[in-house]
Amino acid sequence: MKIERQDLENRQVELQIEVDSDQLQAAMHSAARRLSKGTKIPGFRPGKAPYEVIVGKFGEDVIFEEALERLSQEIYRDALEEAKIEPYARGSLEEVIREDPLKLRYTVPLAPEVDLGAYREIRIPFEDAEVTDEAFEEAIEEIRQRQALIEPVDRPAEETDLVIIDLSGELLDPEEEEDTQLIDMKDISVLVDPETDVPTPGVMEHLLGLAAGDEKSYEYTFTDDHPNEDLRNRAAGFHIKCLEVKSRFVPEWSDELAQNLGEFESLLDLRANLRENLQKQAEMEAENQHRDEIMQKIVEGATVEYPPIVLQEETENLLQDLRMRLGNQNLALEDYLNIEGKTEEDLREELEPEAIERIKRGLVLGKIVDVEELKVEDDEIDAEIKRLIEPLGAEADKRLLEAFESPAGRHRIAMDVLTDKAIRRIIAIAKGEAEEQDVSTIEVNGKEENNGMDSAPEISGADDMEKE
Amino acid sequence: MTTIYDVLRRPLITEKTSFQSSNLNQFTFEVGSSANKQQIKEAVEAMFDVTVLRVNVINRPSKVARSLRNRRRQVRRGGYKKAIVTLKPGDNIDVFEGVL
Repeated sequence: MKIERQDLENRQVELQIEVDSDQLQAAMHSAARRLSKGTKIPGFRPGKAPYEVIVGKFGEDVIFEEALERLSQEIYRDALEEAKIEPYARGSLEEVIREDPLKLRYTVPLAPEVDLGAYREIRIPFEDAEVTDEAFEEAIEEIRQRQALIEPVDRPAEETDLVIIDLSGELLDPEEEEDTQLIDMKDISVLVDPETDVPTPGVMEHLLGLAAGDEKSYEYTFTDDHPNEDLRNRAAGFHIKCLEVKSRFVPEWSDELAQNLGEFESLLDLRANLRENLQKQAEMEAENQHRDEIMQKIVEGATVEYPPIVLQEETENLLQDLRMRLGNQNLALEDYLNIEGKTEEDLREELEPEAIERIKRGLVLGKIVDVEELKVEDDEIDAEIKRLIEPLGAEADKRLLEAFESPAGRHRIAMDVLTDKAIRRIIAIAKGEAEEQDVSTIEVNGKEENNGMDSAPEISGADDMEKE
Repeated sequence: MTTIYDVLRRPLITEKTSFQSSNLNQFTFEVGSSANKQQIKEAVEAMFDVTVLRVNVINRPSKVARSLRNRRRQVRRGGYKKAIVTLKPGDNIDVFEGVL
């Protein structure tokens, strides 16, 4: 067996392997035997026919292919061992260069290489979130609006009223083969408010003064800045049928209203509570944003090289996710594609940037775990499991607990915790809170890691986690 | 006039005959029903350029079987005559030549 090795870009290695003819012959013979086991050859018991007879029956090509299937894997394994290559994922047989003597070309993906760059120098100060008074007032006003009492009334519609209408509209100057029907909605409720364009622009002035049972037709020409280009400057006829007019009475703030809204003692209580919630929400958002910024920065600063197969797999994963989400809505991926008018290839292409981003993040985080020597202890996993189980109460599904406690489950949770730690660590670094004495040891470790490939399990683990 | 092709119909290749050909230097043919040992010997010698030591002939009579399509109908499956030809040590017939 002769191996020629050639390094390709993107963390791949090309192997050209020449196979000894003895080995090929042996493989052909065993392939022939396997083939003959499943077929009846007159005059022979299954599997007992001599090689020549089998060749006569199947043809050499078929046997060669069958032999290659196994032989190529065997050779691949041996070659990896001999060339001392640690593959990161399954390699692939690219082509059969020659048949006699057999020469094969493989591409082997290597473990991704991550150079974090100067991630320890990244400083992004955390900015405290603040809830402005306007935002607060807006939120509280929205709550008040939602408390409006809605009652059917027997009078023409006024502003801030709610009307229930049937609305249909069609283009007046349709082009050929164009669907003239713009809108056809039955029994919709519309808030009479001159400020909005819902459900269609220009409808508001016609709603005013409409009483239950009224019908009205009007024409409207779309403005030339309408979001839908096809509709700009086109005339359309609309028909409204008013079914009902309802008045909206928006109550003023009072302690009583606040009490009605929930466990609040007074209006003051409600306002305090709301402000607190808004503050919490804003803080969380700020934290998330901060984290994303740091992550972004680190990913930008890092050099990540990975074989294309990783990207393929990640894209496949995203696709699978999408398929599952659609499945929840009882939609098959194919239907979705039909609706969107896309092919699967288009979709794959669309998903690619996201996949790249996810791969980078996963790899970078995995690398940080390595470089920073983050570890997870058993009791931390226990604590995490407990934390996950607790909100489910005592009734926690037994199977769920088992799933968590199984070695695979524990491993997954360990990965989660690890990723979490890595994220917390980089946040600490960005805030300038990480201990500096780590740096010297890390430097050494970093170099070691660059040569080694044993970071693979962590990386793939972190990756897995990202996907969920 | 009988030619050698009328005498030697085709080689018979089965598990048993492959064993005989590789270990006992015996080669088996299906032969014409009216062929005799002398004719077979001459035909084999002429066709494959070998020396025949011995010819054994077996007549496999036809059998009555049920039709595959109609289980009630009886059909006759053709019988045949076969000849096992023993060659001089060292001689060989590539039985697989032109087979199948």
